[in-house]
Amino acid sequence: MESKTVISIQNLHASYGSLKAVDGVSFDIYEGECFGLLGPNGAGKSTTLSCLEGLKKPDSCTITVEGLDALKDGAKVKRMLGVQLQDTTLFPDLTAVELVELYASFYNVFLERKQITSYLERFDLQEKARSRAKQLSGGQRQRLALALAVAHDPRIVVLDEPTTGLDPQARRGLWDSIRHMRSEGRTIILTTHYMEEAEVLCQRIGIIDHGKLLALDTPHALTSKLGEAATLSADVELDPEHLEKIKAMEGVSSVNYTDGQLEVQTTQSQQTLADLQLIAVGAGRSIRNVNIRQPNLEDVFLSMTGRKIRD
Amino acid sequence: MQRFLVSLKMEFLSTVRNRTATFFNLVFPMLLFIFFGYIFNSPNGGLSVTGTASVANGGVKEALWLLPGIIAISIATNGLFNSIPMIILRETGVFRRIQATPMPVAQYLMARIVIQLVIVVIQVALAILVGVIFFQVHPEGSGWYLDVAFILVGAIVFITLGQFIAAVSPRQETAQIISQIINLPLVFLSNIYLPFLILPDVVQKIGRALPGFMMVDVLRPAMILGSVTQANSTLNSPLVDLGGLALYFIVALIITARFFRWS
Repeated sequence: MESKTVISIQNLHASYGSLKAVDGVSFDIYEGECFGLLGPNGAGKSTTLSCLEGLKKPDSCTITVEGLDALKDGAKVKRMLGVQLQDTTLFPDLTAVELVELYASFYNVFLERKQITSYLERFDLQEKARSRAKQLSGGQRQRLALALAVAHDPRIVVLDEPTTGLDPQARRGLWDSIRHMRSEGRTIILTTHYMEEAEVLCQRIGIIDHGKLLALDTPHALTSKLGEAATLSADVELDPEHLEKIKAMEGVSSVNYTDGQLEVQTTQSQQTLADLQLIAVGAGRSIRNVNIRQPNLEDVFLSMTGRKIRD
Repeated sequence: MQRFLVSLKMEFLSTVRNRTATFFNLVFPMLLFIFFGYIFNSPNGGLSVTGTASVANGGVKEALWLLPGIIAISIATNGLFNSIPMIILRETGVFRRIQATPMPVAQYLMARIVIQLVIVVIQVALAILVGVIFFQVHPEGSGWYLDVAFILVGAIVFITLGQFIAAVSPRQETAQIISQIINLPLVFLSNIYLPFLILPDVVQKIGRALPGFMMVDVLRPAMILGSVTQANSTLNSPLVDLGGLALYFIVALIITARFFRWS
């Protein structure tokens, strides 16, 4: 069954002065999916969203939202989107309820206090409904920003790093809200530099770095491309000759050793571990903190760019 | 229209809940009014309308002389110090967030300005109330339309000056400094609290070129006498005052338009 394309971005180029932030990015977003743009800070994720949201004028591109040209019909496109920007600052002296009323009114949607209070329950903010924005914690403010994005019931939601700066518990709370949004049939596009977030929330992920889209696929397809290679890591004292032996082992594709921490990409994780133990015991060294993990998006990024996402 | 009303409501709530602003806009000028009203009070005498001479018997009672000045300085501080929240809204991305919605940000700014004018109305009402309750003085009724006109002109000029400060200041701290620099001559050199009779001639000449002075120079005779055309009721000619205010307004507007940004 053909999925309906809701957003189409073709050949997006955007700069800040002489700095090229987005360099020919193209992708489509289908109805009802949660699409993630994953990449390090400065990769061009926020700039891409800014062009979609009408906040930044691109150098050139075609952006279509529900069939409308985003550059020509910017005002109409804005009405269809729900938006959460990075670094949300809200009017500090307004309460959560008042903020929802205000931001919904921007879309000519007028809500009553009762409606708003029960709406805030969905974001676990009912107890803070009458609190002023400046009295909210970081996590509460992010949830409120999310609530403001969806208050006017948009079909498409655009979130820029929705959980950056939050503790793990607050982050999971926001994931629940985003999953709930998707269950309501909304189409979601988000940016993140958290690999786990992209894997957990998104049906498809675009990996972006230095303004270019490096890969676009489901998380599973992206990690499968790395084959069966797992990452074996351990803390152990090793000499250069030991590292040479490990490099030569069957199934080992790469060896990284820094400050006593060893990382080995291998398709034969069990055998490699056994061989490593032999080497270590033979040299009278102890191995601590052994971990074998399956490839994840962090490894995908590393294999594509030679860098970690969080460098 | 309905969403403009929502913006008005929220701007009003934001403004009155800001305790610092409310204190300096509403409470502080009244405290000064009461303070200066009592210490300058002479039981029999008073001041000339222009404040350049004291009159042994008769003259304008000091509290009544102060009333237009209190109104003028309330309007001025309201306009000038609003530059700071303007910059905060710009620097913290609140305006940018609104730009992402279908609401034109300029319309939201309009709501802010309308609420500033509402605050001016409250300030005027408070000043008149304090004048009546504490000093048994009140403005002359016959010139009320002149009062309204000059208050409106003054409010628009100082609101624009506030926007000008916000437009040319890269940071909040810069706006605070500029506002203070403008505020000091306003308080001391503009014939607002301190009558010109206690200032040397040279200093008076400087003061007469300032917008605060120009506003009070026409507002005072309008409020006390009901007209601005009586002999010796103004220090500058009223046309010079109004022309000067218009000039400040136009220059501030042009520079604001040139440098203004939402983010």
